Amino acid sequence: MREVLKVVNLKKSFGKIKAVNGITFSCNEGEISVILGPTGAGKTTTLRLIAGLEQPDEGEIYLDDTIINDLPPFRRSCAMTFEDYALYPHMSVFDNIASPLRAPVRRKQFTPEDVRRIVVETAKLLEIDKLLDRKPSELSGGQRQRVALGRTLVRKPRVFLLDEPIAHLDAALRHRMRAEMKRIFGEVKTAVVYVTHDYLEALALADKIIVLRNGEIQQTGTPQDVYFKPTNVFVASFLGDPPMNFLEAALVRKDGHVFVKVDGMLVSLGEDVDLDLSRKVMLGIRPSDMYILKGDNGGGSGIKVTIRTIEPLGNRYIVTALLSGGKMIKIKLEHRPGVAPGDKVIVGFLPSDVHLFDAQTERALWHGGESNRG
Amino acid sequence: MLLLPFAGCSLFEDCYPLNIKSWSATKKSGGTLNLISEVDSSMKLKFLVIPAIVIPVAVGVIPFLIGLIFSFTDWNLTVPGVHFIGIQNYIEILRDSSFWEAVLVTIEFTGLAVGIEMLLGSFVAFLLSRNVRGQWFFRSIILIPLTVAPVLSALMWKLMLAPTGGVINYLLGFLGMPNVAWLSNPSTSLLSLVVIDVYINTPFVALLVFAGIQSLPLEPYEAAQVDGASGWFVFKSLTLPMLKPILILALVFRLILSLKTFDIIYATTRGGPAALTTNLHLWSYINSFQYGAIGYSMTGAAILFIMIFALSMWLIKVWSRSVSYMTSSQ
Amino acid sequence: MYMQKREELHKVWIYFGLVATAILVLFPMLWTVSLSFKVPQDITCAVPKFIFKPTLDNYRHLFSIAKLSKSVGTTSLNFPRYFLNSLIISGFGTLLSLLVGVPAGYALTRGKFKKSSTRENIAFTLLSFWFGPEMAILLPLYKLYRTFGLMDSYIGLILLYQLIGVPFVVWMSRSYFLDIPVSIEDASLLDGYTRWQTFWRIDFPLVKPGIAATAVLTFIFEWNNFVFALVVGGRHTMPVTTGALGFISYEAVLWGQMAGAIVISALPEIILAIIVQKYMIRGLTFGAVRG
Repeated sequence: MREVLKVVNLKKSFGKIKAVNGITFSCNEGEISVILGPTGAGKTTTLRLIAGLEQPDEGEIYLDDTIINDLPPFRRSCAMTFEDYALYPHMSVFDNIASPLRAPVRRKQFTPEDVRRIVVETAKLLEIDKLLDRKPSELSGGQRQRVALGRTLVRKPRVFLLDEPIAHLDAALRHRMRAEMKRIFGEVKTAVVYVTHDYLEALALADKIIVLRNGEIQQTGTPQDVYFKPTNVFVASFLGDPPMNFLEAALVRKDGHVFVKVDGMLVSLGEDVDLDLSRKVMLGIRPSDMYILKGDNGGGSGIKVTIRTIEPLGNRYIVTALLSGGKMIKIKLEHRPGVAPGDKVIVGFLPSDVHLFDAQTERALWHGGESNRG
Repeated sequence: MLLLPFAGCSLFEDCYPLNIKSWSATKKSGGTLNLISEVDSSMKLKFLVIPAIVIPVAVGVIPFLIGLIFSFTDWNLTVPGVHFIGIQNYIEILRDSSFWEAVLVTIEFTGLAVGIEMLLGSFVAFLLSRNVRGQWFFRSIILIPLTVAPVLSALMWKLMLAPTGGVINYLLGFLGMPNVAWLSNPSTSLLSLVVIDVYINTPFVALLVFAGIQSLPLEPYEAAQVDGASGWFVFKSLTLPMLKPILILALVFRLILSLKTFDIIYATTRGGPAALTTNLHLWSYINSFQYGAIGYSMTGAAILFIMIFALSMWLIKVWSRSVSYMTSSQ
Repeated sequence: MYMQKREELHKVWIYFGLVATAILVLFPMLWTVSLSFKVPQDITCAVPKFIFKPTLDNYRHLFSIAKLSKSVGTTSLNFPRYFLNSLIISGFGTLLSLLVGVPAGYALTRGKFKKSSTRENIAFTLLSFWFGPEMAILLPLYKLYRTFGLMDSYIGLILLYQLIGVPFVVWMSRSYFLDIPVSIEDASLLDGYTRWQTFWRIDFPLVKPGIAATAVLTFIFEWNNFVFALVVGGRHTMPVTTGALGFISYEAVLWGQMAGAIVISALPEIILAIIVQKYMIRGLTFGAVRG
């Protein structure tokens, strides 16, 4: 797979605010890279830097191995959709989509018949061919989003830049569009850089996820990597709803095995575990990886909790439970819990689902699962 | 079909980076393409502001500064020779009774006129905001005095206020009033001017406040209705505070513009009778063009300028405080 | 039932107030119009007549210069000239203000300045030119114009009138450009258009109605000016505002003709105002309310 876009040590500040603080990543042809992060992480700024709408303070941007830092936007082979769609209100849908084709820089290449043919084909692909004469104000949110998409498709750029394209659609439409976009971009062999704050979107669409926070990359990897082997507390808690539970823990060595001691419970990590036992750690465990054992007996290994609330979500249940130290954890179950608020139960989990983080640096130390290293 | 070209990328410019490579190459050698480099277009945009600054500065600021210099001279058109006399003009003016009379007239006129305009204007704005049939007609009527030149409106009133044969005296005669020479009678001349000013400028206040009323949010009122609040309470604690920024804005504009009233006074009374309608602005004109004392009258103009400047600084601070208060409470 | 009656009673009072306001506003104008159609005897008689035989004499005199100068003696009145002067000065003045002000307004919204507060500062400082007492400028300008031969010249007046037009145009066009989301311009830049092309295909069409209304208002404001023309204008360039005063002199007061002059002078602006009614609110309140 050819590398199309490469960004090296990009930095951009607005006044005192460091929006982007040293970002490096690359995207390959036919790959969907998702930049995931909370609001203010610098995702949109990164996109705008790639597009040429902002100039970086430091760093280089490469397109097909050529530096494009000095190129104006209209010379870069990037097409971008904006969070507010940015459709031209005084032009029809047809003119909106045709707009890139009619730009003077490209005028020699497209005859009016070409333009018509391409626009109509693109519209058909996005199922908006019946709306070509309407103005943006006459369209629904979903339709506008597809017009915006059409405007980018028509350019056949080397890189697609999508800024939260489905953020403002209602839930049902969002699910549909997610699948649609996966299909469309699957057929198109260009690089896609997709920005979102919705981790589910990222997991569903991405070939590669780049987690961004406060202008810095926290982790780059496949959806599997990022979900099952988060490199720090932030990534671990950002991907997941409800977010991962974090409990204070300590490491002990007993009989040659290393255990992590949390709330009185000992969890075995195995024999040859190379960890600094003196550090304070945090045990991370996802709500979906916990289960409830009733009664005080049972396998012994579990945390004693008191049930606080139970939220039924259709076929799922979120149980909030209180630990003896006052800390609260959430458990996600796929079946009815069979307990009631106020019950004292034991919550258990498998060692293979455990994640350990350094309590101070918040970096990952150890993940249960296939490979043990963090 | 449409998507096939992606694979080979043969049809459309964007797919092949050849352009990019050749473009960068040309740029390095400083080709003509440099002219259309738009990368820094935003940086160069700010130069478009220059003419808009240069012209007012040339025609406004520079003459003013020159005028300030005049105020430190004894320049008089009737006397040859111009000398620097320092702040003597300023000292002399403070001892000049005509100056103080002019200041008094200014304060009286502005205070009375603006006060009435604010109250009347707000009241009219309230009337206009009601949903009644034909509201558009009344709202359009209000616009007319705003567009007619103040001088012309003043002249209209001059026609109406004629001592004999003037329609105002005729109508007032029905109330048993004798004919009054409104503009030339010392006891009524300033009041007449206030009436004229109110006529000309109340629509401005009315329009501003009306627009403010129209943009008031509905929700607080609905909440008050649900809570069962009385009309007076609603007015005092909802309407008035929310309208404060607009009311202050109207006050700012009216106060400042009223302090420098010139045309309507000149057109109707020329400042008379006996300088009773001469405000500070007119005072400087008369001292210059009637007495030729340019240096001296410039002093008066400078003082007026300082008055207005100080007042507007203070008022604008008040206004911005009221606006930020509004937005923060939302 | 009681509430309804109260509502209706309120409505009556409101109507009363509105009608009274309308009468008060319109009366001076309507009276002036009636004066313009009256014969001198009807005008000066002790009891003003509401019903009279109309005459076009006043208007005929206004437009026939010979008759005017004969009737007043030494001062020569030339109303058509005044009207033409107003047109020239306000027309070209507005044009110049637009040419200078609109790009400046655009630059203030999209340009990059060292401090972001500079833009508002510039716009606001320009607007504050409206607050200054004109004499503070006119007294020195009188001498300056005399020296450079700009007295009683169209150029001199048009330049001076920019003190009225430029701040207003900059302020208003800035307000209209701010309404356009930056993302639309970015989209156009990415589509392949240069900033210049983007301005003409995106910003300009969207801002056209607002700028047109601003142009009309600027024209009206410049038309209404009196002080500048008084001090720096003269026989050749006198616009209607100072010209109207010429009907009152020590020899005679030509009430009828003055009334006619007022009517014709005010008519263009009233017509213009009615045309751009919709955008008036935004312009007249200096963008304080979006209307």
